[in-house]
Amino acid sequence: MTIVGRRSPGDKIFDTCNAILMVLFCITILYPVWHVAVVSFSTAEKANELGLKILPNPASMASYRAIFKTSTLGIAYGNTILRTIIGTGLTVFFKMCMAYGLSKKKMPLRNGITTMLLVTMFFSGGLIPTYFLVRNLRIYDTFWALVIPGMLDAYTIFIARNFVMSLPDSLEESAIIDGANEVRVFFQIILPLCIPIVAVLSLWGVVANWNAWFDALVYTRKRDLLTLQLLLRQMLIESQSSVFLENEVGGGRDYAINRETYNAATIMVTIGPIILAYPFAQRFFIKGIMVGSLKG
Amino acid sequence: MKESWGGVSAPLPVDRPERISMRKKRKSVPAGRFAKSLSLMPRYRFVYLLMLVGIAYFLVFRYVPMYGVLMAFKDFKYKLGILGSPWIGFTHFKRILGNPGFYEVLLNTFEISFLRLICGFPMPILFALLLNELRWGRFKKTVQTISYLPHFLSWVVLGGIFTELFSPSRGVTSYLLKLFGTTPIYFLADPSWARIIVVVTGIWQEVGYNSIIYLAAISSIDQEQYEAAHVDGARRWQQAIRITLPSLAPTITILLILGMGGILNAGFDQIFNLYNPATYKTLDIIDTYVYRHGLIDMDYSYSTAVGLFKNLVGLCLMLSTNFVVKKVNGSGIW
Repeated sequence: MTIVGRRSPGDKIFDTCNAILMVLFCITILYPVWHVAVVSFSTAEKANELGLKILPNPASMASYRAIFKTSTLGIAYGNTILRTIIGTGLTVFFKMCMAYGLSKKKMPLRNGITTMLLVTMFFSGGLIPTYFLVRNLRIYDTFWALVIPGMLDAYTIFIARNFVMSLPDSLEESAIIDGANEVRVFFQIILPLCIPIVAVLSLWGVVANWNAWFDALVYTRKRDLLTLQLLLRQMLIESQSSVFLENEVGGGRDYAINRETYNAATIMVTIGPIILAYPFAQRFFIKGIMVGSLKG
Repeated sequence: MKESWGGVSAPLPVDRPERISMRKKRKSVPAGRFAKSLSLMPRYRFVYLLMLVGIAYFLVFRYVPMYGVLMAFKDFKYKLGILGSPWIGFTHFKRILGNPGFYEVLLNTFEISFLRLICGFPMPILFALLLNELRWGRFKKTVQTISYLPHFLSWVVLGGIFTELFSPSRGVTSYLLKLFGTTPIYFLADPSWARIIVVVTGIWQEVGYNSIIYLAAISSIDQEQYEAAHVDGARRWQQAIRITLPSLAPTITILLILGMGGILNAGFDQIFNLYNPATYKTLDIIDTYVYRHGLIDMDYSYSTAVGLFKNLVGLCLMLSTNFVVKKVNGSGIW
């Protein structure tokens, strides 16, 4: 963007080095994902070999077949999708409600509510009191424990509020003069105008819910509530993989797969939707951080 | 708030007129203000209705746990509840301060955070500057898009990926080390290596994403400045250092203050998914310590006390950084 005039030889050297550096950086990001993908399609024998994993040779779907046979993966996928849909829906809706309310400059208690939210950005009760709250509210080990405790946060509400405040007042004004109340105004005028920020909040919500694992780890125990991330964590870190393999895949042990290919396949199914949606969705994230940084 | 007047709502005043009146100098009448705002409340009943769930959420899920912090001053028993458990004053805090294990964790937290800040803070700025110098638009866009990717993967996934990559028997690092004729290193089980891995992968994950804010600031710089500098004979690196970097200063300041405030957050998600008993010595941070002592060992009051201690220190750090920046710079965040 700063190109004015001709490039000197020094410039050319710099540009080349810079481009090489950038390519190397991209490789450090793309290769690890590719590596795991290759391992997931490899046979056990090949997966254990030392070396760069460029292509699976021979390619094998055995690991995928094995994980798709288990009922646990189905449960985990179902719960992850469910929490992503419901969690994102609730998050976005109630954040927008708060944003709309806080955009009313003349409303009594507006400053009080703003301060109440602001305080939570700098101070929190911490892990243990929140854990007991979830237990005492009787949502421990229920689906709601995955959705509700992290539903709202002050920072994104303020970002959304700034967006609402940047809308012209005239439309709302005329609706109110025509006798509509604020609830109608919110649904019929404000929300349709807020589609850009709703899209950003939704994408944040989807990513956060899809990637969430700590709430599932702390607030749930039941196998029925297992999410993909928690399942993956159990397999990777708590090394229940072998147990899992025997219990779930059952029957004769399949020597074409081992823990590594099995884990790699689970990683791939977990990040699959994100990787597939990423090229289309990423510009919204950028938009989101711009909205947040320029006005917040 | 909820009562409706016969189901028909009277036309309500909107905010617009007030905005106009705000331009005039408003004389505040403190005594009348409270009564006036009280009388305004019914008009906003529908707005309050919309906000009802949100406000309840913050009171219940954010403020009740703050009250739950009282546990730190009690000998908490689950059966007795928070109020019913006996007070024991600062016993747990004395336990914290008398516990050498805690100092180790505190030191780890500071060391990891400072490493992250010193090595990691300039990286997105550097990355933004370098990216900005790329000439071929599509290449630039592609690099940018790829650079954000790790931000959108959870640390459970990344933990799995890095365990594979750094594996001594199969990993790429072992392969590369072998090429150079060195013996494999078990990076994630070696206390000193593991810490380096944590810092490096942490930076790697966020460089691209954190550079967005700087790129936004760069794109808002007036192009004429560059043209003028060029006419005056400034080289590209001179332009970068004399024009681009100073233009980023306000953004850098704000992010630095926020970074200082978060210095006690040494990256729970990442460390929790990368550490293991072999590397507790260098990777155990306050958050992981609270988790293990609180939820695994069920030492509830003690770990609440540790969490409270962390929160208070973090708050003080942020306020004092802001104070210093304000003195030096003229303006902080507040």
